[in-house]
Amino acid sequence: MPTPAAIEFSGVQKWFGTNHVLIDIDLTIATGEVLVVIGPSGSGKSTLIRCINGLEAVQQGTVVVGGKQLTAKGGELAAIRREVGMVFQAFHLYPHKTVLENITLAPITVKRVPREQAEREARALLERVDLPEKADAYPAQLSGGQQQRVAIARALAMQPKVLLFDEPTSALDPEMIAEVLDVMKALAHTGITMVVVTHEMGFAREVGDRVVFMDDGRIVAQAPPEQFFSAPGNPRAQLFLSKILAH
Amino acid sequence: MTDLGWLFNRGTLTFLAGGLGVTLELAAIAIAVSFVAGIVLALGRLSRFRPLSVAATIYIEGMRALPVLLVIFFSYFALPRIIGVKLDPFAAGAIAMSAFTAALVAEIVRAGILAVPKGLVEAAQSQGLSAAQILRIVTLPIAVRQMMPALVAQFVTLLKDTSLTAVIGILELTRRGQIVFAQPPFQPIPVFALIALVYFTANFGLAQIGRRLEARTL
Amino acid sequence: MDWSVLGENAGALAQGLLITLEVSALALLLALVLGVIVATLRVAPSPVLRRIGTAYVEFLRNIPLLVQLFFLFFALPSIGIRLDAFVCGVLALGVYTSAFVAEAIRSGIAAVPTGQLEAGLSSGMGYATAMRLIVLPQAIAKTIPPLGNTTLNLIKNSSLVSTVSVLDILGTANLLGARSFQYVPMFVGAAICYLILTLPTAFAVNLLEKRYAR
Repeated sequence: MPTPAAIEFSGVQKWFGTNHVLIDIDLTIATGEVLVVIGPSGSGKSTLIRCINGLEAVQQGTVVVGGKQLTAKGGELAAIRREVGMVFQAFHLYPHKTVLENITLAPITVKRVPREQAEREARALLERVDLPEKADAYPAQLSGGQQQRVAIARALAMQPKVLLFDEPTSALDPEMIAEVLDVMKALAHTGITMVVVTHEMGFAREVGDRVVFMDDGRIVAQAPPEQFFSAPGNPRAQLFLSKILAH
Repeated sequence: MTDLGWLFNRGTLTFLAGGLGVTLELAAIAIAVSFVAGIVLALGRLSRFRPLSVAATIYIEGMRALPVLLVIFFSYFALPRIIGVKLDPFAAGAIAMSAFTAALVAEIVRAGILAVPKGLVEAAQSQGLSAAQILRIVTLPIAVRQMMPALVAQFVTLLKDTSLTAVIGILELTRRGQIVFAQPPFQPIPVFALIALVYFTANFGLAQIGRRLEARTL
Repeated sequence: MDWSVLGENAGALAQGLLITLEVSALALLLALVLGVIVATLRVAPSPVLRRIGTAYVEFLRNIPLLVQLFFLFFALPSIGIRLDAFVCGVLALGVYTSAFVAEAIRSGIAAVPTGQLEAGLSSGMGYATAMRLIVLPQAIAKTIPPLGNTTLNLIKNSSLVSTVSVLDILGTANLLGARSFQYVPMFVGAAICYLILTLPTAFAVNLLEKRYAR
């Protein structure tokens, strides 16, 4: 049964100065799909997902998110951002706000949710990421893994249809990676559309619906995880996998 | 000389305390005005609208290149001829101190804003906050916390610089000290010692408040 | 407004500019000498010396320069020390600024990570060699931008000597403004004179700041 597309890239090109960072990107992501984007650093994978919520503008082609086109600015962009949550490598929690305030800030200011309701929902989200006792803590008082789980709760507070993860575990100490991945795995089973840039191949294998491999600004291979990891079907993807799986 | 009754009597001390009051009032006005104006100037300089950023830059750099005493004299003697309104010394002094300090505060604010990690702005953007909301809720509060030490140092300078308004006849602390030692028994040294102590205490106190604010904001 | 007074008095303003330069240069020299001495006190191993250095800096920094200048000019004569206004100006400005010079140097030394000295020592250098080859070059690089700003402030602060009737830029403009009642042109002229001194200095400071921002 075909599901409607959540995100659609067609003919997308992007340059940073003279540097061509996204080349001929055509990519359709289905609603509810968990898409894992991998590739060497500088391959354009972060730029690709930053185009989905307009943190980067594309110069040619279109990105359509939930039926709304992203080349337009203003209202459309704001509407898209309300429905697309993002989790960053460096967490980017607001340092001057408590955990609870971090989570309720956008619902209250953007969606005009009453404070009491926003706080109730925020506490429920903190239960979900297993940090109910940290509501009144400041980000600086949390470990990296805890901060990232709060960041996930913050993204979820806007009840997004799509969640973007930009290397969510790359800044974490090894012993904290699992706690964040566990939260992400649980999310993957809820039917939310997820686009995840990561080096965690175990995560890709376990919950990914499809793996996209990028190199030098192009999508050079894509396949379901089982197939991708046994036979990537592209020499550069093969090379990348052999390097990353070697340790 | 050993009997300082001429200085430490109720009348003289009240007179000097009144001067401290004027000093603090002038400083408070200038702090308030220059803080707001400094933020506006900094945003102007950072604006992508070129005429605005050029105008703000010229104002800021011009003011920073001039002695504050010149600005005070200008405000008292020259400004009334330009605007056609006579200014009493206090008004002229307050305008000069505010206009001058605003340029310095603007640079502190600008540095503070530029130091706010880009990722925090992106996090707010990706949640759909508008540019104005991001500025008000994320960028400025974080910038203000980061620039507290520089801001307090600037306000210490301001408090010291208010003494310069003595030369246009504002009866603040330094001017009143001059008046006291110009009277019998014509003993300037004890007067200076007392005034210096008062300034020192006020500035040192201000610096301590700054340090506490700094510590509280992590 | 009669802008012709500016042309008529250009010579006097130029004279004032020379006086401002003279006061600033002499005060800077004094400030550098005293500043280095006080900075040495502030990083000395003896806590007593360090405390003396700190007291010197805090005392001078927290009392308005005008009060210090007036003290030399109005108060010293009462105990029989009568100094020329120009000398008072140079002394007050130089001593006041030395506190800021000392702070700039001290923070420059403090900004060099201790690991740098340790790295030098552990590669077999003696303390003096490690200081000379590793710590001091980095400290000087970190000291130059704040010293540049201090110099800039000194030039601007030199205008205070006009309050004890030295005819520097501001003193001249004030006098001629009062005489001709053409305050606006005279102060604009004074502003131009200050910009001639401060803008190139600021430019040089920016340049140095960029070069040493490594």
